[in-house]
Amino acid sequence: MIRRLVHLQLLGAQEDLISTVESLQRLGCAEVVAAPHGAGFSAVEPRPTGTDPDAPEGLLARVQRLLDLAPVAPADPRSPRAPSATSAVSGAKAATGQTNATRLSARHSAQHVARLSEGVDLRAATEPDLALLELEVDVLLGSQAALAEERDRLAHYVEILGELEALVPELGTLSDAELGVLGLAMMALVLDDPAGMVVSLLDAQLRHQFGESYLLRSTGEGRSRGCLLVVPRDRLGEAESLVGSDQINQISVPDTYAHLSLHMTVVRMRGRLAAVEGELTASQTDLATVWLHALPSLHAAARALRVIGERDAAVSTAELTSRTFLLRCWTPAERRADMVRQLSDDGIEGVAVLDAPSIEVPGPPPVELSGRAAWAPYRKLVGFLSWPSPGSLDPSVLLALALPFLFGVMVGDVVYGAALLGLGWWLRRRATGSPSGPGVLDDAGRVLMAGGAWAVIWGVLFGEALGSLGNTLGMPALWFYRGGPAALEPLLLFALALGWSHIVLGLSLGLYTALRRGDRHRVLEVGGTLVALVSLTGLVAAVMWGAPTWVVLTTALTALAGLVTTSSVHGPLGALLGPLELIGTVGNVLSYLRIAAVGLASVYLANVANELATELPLLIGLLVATFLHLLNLALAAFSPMVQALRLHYVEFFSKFHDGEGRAFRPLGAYGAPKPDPVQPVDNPSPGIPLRVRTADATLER
Amino acid sequence: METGLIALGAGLAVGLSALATGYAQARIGAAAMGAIAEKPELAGRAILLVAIPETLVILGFAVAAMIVLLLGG
Repeated sequence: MIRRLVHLQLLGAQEDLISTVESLQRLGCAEVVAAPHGAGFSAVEPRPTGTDPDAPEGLLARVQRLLDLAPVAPADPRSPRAPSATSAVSGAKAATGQTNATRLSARHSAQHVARLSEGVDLRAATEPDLALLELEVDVLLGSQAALAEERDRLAHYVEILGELEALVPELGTLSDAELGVLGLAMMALVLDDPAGMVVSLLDAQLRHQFGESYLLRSTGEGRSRGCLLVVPRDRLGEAESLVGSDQINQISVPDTYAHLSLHMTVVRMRGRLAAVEGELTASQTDLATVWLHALPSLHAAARALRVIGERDAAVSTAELTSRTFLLRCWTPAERRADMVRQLSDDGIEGVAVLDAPSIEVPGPPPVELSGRAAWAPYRKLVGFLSWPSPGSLDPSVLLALALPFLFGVMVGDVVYGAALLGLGWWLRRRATGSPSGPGVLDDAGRVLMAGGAWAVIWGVLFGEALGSLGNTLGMPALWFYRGGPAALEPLLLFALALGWSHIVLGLSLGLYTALRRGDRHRVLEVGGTLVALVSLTGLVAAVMWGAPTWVVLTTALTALAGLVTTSSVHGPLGALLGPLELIGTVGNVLSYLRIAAVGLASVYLANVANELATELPLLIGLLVATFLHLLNLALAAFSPMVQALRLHYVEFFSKFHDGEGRAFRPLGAYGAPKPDPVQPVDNPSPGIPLRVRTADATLER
Repeated sequence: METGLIALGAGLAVGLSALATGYAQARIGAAAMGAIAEKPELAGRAILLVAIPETLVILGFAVAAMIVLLLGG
């Protein structure tokens, strides 16, 4: 149902402006709009808007950045997942059993960020706490990145050097200095050798250059191979220039290990690797503790900042004189009295609520669709395409009735329907505990439950349970079984009948809307198409069933009359556009054949699963059948919904839904502001810009 | 032989129209994704546009059904 909205003007003293907007936020049913072009007035320059990082929008961006960095799981203390974060923290601490002296105190951080949401003086309280939290999170994330990089690098070194050490145990214990005494130098290399050629080529070149005065050992096969090269120390330069190829990387260990023996290098690196793992875990524990304490406050701060942002945006639309403000808003007609009461309850007595003169109404009103809560998901689905214009029909009710029905016809299986019903119920149950409110999961659950229920009903009519299994086990089809050899014809006719009914309903609604608006062209166009379609159907039926000639002639003439009527509104092009429109409408009816096509595909896939289960060995057959039925169920949850939605968007809505409206967006979308009375700081005098201070922002007018 | 030809004809009717639909949807889908990347609010209309060529394969299905029903006896 489309609610009637009225345009009101709120007139009051400037010191009441912010508290008036906050009162409207609490009321939650008024959309503030700017003055129509050229109709407004403002004697005072609007407040400049900039990119101040301490302004509410700047603070919100910083809070949002932290929320984006945070893990999803412990998002809110109300979330059922939050305890898992606590256990993760304690588990990680128990695992490490150590405290890093350099890490920042999580408790210290928590004490600061807990003030974020107290909201008494949001800007003053938020900024320093937020800066501290940002610093803490950035430091921890930075150190984790550095530790993770060091861990990966060390693990790579340890793997290669460990293998090389095993090749030359007698040399591996000698330090760089000891090798120097012997007049030797050792190089560790990594060769990119996918074809296994580089090592042998290197060996040949070394032999050519050094004769027998070198030692080359390499690890086993593989794309990346480690090599250890020992050469006379005085010829180290020659060896380095020889191995300077693209496919050979010399391992340059950090300076800490530079002069150690190979064995000691590996031992020290393994020790450091274990320490790095511990530091990384400790850092992750610290960060998890920070998130655990900070996230509830961050979420609360984000909500509070959004409320302030919404309020500031609304305040900026007000028209101002030196002492007064005028605020324009749309509100449902029946809520006008509530608005007056809310302002009074909030102690704002000096604001007058007036009906706007018709010449000052800023264009067509927004549109609010209302009705049962169960239909809310369908209103969103309508908005997903476009919003109805004022004075048109609410398509969400029709969508709520027909979408699950068409979905159920396509799925038409008792077991699949029950599974989808259960899935929808689970989604809704899960959505109930979501920190951000029911939202999309609840909507999807509602739609799936309705569709699943219809799928069960149609499953009973078609006698289907897991495809042919129900039929095989003796489940009777109350109408006809879709997998049977004679099912194609009745199924196609049924799909066409559904399509015809839906399109005729759409055209009838289009005709009704056009008549209500007094749109003569639209009445002729839609009415003509409707008459032509109905008559054409009658003509086909009359010919098929051998009706008397006068019936055939009458229906043919009526169809022609409808076509001429439709064509007449298109002027000289009518001879072309009229028939095209009729063909398009017939095509729309034929498009409903997809109901039969998708349904048959689902039935035959289920039947294939059942056949394979009987043909293959028992266990394998059961596994294959289960997999195929699950696949079919996944397809059944998605494909019929998309097809049913498309039938509405393309075929049905195009007959009556203009989609030229805009949604009603009342203040209070992010919640109501906390009671926070406005305190005039300076005693205003006529002609002097007024300074109004709220707890979180200061506005100068 | 005759049944095989009927099945082949029905298969071609669906298969060729499905290829045409796929080609059209690929082109429209790519353009739609580009549009959504710039204006996410166009998602609904994009789905609508992507879904339009499906009529081709549905008509192919109708032709295949007619072939099977009328010629297959």
